[in-house]
Amino acid sequence: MSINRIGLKLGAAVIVLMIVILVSSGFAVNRLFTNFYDAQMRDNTQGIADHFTTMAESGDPSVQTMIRNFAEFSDVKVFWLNADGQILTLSGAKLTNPSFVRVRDTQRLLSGHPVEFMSSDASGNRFYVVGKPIKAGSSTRSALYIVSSMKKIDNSLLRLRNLLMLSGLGAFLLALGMILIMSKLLSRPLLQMQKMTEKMANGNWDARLRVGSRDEIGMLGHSINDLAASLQRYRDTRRAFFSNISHELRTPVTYLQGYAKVLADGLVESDKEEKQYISIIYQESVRLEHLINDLFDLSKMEEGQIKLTLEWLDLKEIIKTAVRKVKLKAEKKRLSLQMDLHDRVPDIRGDRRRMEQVLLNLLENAIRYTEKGSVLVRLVRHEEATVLSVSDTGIGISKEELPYIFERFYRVEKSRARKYGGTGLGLSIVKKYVEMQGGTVQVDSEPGTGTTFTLIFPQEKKLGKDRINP
Amino acid sequence: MKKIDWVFSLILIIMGLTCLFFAANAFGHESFLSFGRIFFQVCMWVTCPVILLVILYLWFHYKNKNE
Repeated sequence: MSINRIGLKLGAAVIVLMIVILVSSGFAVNRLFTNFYDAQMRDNTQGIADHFTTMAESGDPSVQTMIRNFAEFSDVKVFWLNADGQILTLSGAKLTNPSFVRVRDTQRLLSGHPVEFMSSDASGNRFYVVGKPIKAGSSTRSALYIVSSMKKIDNSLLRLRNLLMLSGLGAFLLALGMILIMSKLLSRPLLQMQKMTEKMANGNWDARLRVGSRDEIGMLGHSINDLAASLQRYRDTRRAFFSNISHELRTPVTYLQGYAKVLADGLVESDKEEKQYISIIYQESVRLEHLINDLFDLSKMEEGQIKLTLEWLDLKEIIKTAVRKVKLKAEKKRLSLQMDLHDRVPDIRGDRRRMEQVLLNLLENAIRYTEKGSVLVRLVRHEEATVLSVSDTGIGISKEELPYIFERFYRVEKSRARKYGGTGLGLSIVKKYVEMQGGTVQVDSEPGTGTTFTLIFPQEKKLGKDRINP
Repeated sequence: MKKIDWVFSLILIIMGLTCLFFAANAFGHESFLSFGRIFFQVCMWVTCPVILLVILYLWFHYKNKNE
């Protein structure tokens, strides 16, 4: 049987407690019974002694016989102490002084004072002795010693002590058995958790604990399972991230290498072809730069290193700036870029540069995935929030894919040819920036009809008054 | 918990209970009949609060479930 440490500590603590309780209660019970028997013996012997003294003082000639019979009946011994200090039997025969007789008690008795004490013989038998003076008028002429044996009481007390020890042993064994079961039951889930965390430390994050209880240990088990799930998710995300990033970096680099080699080897047949290749190299290098910039921003955001410069922003102004920047791209695709900016929309608290980047990402996405139709930017005040939405009439996103579009490198477009371009990080950056500025992002989409991204910023009160832009 | 742990613990519990029953029974009334009587009394004293606790637990359990 293996003794684990928790079981040992718990068992030792309970056993010590049990021993203390059993020993103290055992002593208390023993003391209670001893005092009870002693008091009973004292009262009995005193009563008998009082009777015998009264009888002796009556001076009746038959008193000796009566006392002797009474003594036999009461199971006590009676000794006569004469005026000379000699001990006699009731029949008047002289005795060598019994062991309990002490000179000072004799003197005390003969001077008219009663005595009582406990004594024992050489074999250890205990006696209770009561001495009573027998008075004739005002003087004391002799005395009586009444001696009661305490053998029966001692036997009863011995039996009681044995039974107390037996019941103490029983309680001890019972507690030991219960402690062994309890300590095993309590420590088993802890040992399972220790094994589980050891597995996690060795990189096995797929393992899970089977939690059956709802107590503190059960809660700890759930927390460990949650931790394992989080670590597993983190590992999976990290793997996917590295896999995606290597792919995303490799694609433009492959283009760059391929077309640069064609140019370097002089394999072009015309100036037009050369220009086309140089243009591809330029576009791919721009895409690579965007990818690196986005990755840099995202990693800084995740490490919490991005510090926002918060100020009161007029969103209308930012929207106009962003729309101006993407207008050329929209015109190239013959898309109608519209704005619907309501009056009396309050300023929001945010970072100007990040907010503009959010809008640019959304607008570029909208233009990228829209072949014909329009892109609409709308700004309205809705109850206690400022609502900015970017809608397009593009390819749309299926409902199954909507929950994942804010994940890094997630693309609705599955083709590796990257027909629409983009880094796959834009929406992830949008979500993080908006949340950092206290807002939320919602998306509604219908495949083939279009997509609307809605940014909701709860209104904050400015000190003193809520400034409204006309 | 291994089988040997259960066996060892149960042996200790049975030994402890036997000692306690014997101590409760032996003070001047050593007979199997009185031993049985004491055993029955102790079982009843233990069973009554256990039944009461089980009823209370079930009551609270179903009350919380319904809420």
